[in-house]
Amino acid sequence: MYAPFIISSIVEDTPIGDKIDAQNLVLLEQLLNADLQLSVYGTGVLGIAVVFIGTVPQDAIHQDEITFDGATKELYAQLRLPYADLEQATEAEVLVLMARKYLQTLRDLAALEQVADFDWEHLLQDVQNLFVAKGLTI
Amino acid sequence: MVTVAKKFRPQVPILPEPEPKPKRGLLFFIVLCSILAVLATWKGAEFLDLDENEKLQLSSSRQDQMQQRLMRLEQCEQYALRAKFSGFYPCYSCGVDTAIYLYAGEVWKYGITIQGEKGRYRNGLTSLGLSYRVQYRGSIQTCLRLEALKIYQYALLPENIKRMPPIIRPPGNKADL
Repeated sequence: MYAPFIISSIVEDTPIGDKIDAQNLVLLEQLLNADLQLSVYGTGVLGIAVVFIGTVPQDAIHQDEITFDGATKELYAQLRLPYADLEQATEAEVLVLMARKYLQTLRDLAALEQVADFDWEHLLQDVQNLFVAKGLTI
Repeated sequence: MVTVAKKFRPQVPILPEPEPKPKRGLLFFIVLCSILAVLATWKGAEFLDLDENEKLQLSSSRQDQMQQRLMRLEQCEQYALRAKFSGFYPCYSCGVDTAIYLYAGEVWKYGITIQGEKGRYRNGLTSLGLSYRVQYRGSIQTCLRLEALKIYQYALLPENIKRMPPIIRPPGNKADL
């Protein structure tokens, strides 16, 4: 991974795709990398890559998925955003949707993921505080 | 006395040698072994089965696999990987240069993927700073055709023409196909 926090997307060549990947990917990724350092939470995780899926619900190829590679200590998550919400939301609102989904995934990981020497709860709290400070949790 | 007996042996009529009896037991054994060998082979080959007419056919699980595979080939995607940030990206079509400067949104690679395939694009999303755009969904034949068209026609895109010199194909495509 080229940065500890990676944000990317799988979208269609449509205005809905633009709402996700034109600005918001970079905004979210830069925000996380500027304010947080994974090493603060332990040595168990070296990278977290989140790929938002913004394709039509009929898309059978890309599905929700979370995997952790113990060798590289990198977490990879593909997260589907609700398409009906994407259709109606503005670009700024889509950023909030992405932030919400990101936080929910961290909550799930804090509850479930067993990685030695990594404090998911602490990371969750810091990300949540960061998003609140930037107005991304409406 | 002995000499006389030897000299004048009683004449025994020479009978024709009897036809050798067919070794039915052996024949039966060979046939049985052959049948068992074929059955054993089928047992090992769980992808084969017998239909009601005792003809060989694919096992039901193998047929299901085939149908799923054929269905997945109808669910293909042709995609473009684009630069998320302006910056340097690996280039496989730049002659001696191994990197190229891309502006955010410019194409790095065209590719295709089918359902169930662990995408080769994933590394591009996590390690290179790229994002994925679906450009077409449909059969694999059409996906391959569109991919080829886009790789060749990339040379004509404004983002490529403005370069000095332009490159022959997208930076992330190692070959035309």
